[in-house]
Amino acid sequence: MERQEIFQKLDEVFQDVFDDPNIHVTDETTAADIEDWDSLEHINLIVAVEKAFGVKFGMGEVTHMENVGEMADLIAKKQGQGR
Amino acid sequence: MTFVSYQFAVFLPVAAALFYGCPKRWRMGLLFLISGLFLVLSGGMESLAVYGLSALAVWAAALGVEHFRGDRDRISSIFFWTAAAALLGLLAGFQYINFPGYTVQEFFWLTGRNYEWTPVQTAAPAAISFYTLTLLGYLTEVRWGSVPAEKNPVKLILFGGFFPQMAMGPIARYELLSETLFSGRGAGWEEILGSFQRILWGLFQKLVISERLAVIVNTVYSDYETFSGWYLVLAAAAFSFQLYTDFAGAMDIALGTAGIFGVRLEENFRQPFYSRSIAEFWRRWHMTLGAWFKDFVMYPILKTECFQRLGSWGKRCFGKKQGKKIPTAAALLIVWFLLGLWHGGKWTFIIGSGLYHAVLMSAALLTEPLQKKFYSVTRLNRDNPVWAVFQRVRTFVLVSIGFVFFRSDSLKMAVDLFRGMFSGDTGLFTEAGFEALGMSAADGSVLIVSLAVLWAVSAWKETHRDGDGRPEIRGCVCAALAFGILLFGCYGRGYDPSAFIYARF
Repeated sequence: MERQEIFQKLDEVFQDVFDDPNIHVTDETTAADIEDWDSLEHINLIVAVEKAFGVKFGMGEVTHMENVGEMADLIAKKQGQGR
Repeated sequence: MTFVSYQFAVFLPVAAALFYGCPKRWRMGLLFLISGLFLVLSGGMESLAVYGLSALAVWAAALGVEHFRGDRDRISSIFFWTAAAALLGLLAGFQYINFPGYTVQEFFWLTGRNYEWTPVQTAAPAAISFYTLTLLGYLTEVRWGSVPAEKNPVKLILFGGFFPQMAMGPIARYELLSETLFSGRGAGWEEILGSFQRILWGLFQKLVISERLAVIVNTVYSDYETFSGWYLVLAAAAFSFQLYTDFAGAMDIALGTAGIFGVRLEENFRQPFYSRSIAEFWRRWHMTLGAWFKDFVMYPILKTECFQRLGSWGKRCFGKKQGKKIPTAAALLIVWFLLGLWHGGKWTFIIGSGLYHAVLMSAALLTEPLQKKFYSVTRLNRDNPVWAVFQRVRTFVLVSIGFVFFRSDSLKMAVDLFRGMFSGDTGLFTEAGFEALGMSAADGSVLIVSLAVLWAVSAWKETHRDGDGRPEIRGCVCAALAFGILLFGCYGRGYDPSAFIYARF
């Protein structure tokens, strides 16, 4: 999956999880940019992303993800490994 | 030896002089020796032995965890769980031996019977609750592959046992602390002065404010059956400020002390009494403990199959938005039960610093739609300053209710305290009534002024998050703080202030 496609799909997941059709994520998007993205919502988001892309994040990745760019990198890496 | 002892006032400058007097490549080894000496002086040889063996076991286990991770993951998992069980078993053996007894005592009280548990006296090694979390966090991160296993045992022992942070935190993360702890780079003059100012501010909070508030709290709580009404309300509010100035003061001393050696520790407090909700309070109070439980307990629980299924069930029954909150609320209860238990094997801790907060946070989470409706119907601006003050006062009251449990010896005592608040004589607001608090008018005045200073500093920090100000201002602040501490510090009998509250955990 191309990086652009990953971001398109991430937009859909974020819009669905945070119930806001106006959300568009970029490499630099962090929890500080999305009002409802707090520590309690983080795991709901992670699980939704895992389901949408058919990947599994390790706990270390879940706790160390700095921004959406890192999330997209991990998705691309994991999908590459899955092939 | 505590941070407020005279021994420490000698220990720190000598340690700093030795540190800067020796070549960079020896400095880490020197910090290792200094930390060992500090532990012996604080908790005796037994504490040093228990800590040293625990850290060595974790060092070896982490190497095993890393070596076998991946291809032979089962063996890696055995290494991890054996070391984790040993750490937690040791903690339980020392800290929770009386927990079953206290549980029976509380159960008897709840069912209207009388039974008092005679606690088994154990001498827990100094700082065991704190370094257990520090070492367990490191081991877990190695298991997750987030940090590489440390090859050098000296580095790992120093990581968990670095003397400013060992006794009361902040709870360190390997990735963050190792950066400055092992380099031996030291600090520049500007950084040392800032660190010194921070130590003085910590001493001011502990010796001038906390020790003075302790007089009120101890007077009322040691005879709580006699005092009633406003006395108990005042004692509850005083204890909230006492606990804050005691613990945040200790953290300022810890961060300042580490800063003198050029080591950066994580912040543990960020003006918690500015919080507008309980959830925000926990993002500002004992931050490293909250972050530890979030990363190592809350997230793994929420990611389990069982909690995922609970979420799916919740969504089916209560709709997508509300349903996904069900597993979160359930996880909050588990996490805060453990967080309360970490403070000690008593139900007063489990409720006062645990379940009570989980219930409040879950209630806030589950009633979010109602809150949104409230704002839209009333058209109230969330940032309205009067509303913000109301929310801060409300949070303070709710937090103080939890601290009444936290401070009580038993649930019965806590309930008696709450009952007493609404009954009896409230003759506090007379001269004789004030004197019954055990404090002179002069001490009362010093307390009020020093609390005003605390408020002013907190307000300044809340609006100026980037820096500490200019060096010349810093010099004046240092002089004023030193003067205040020398003149108004409470040094107790034999010039020995009481120990820090969190040092017993």
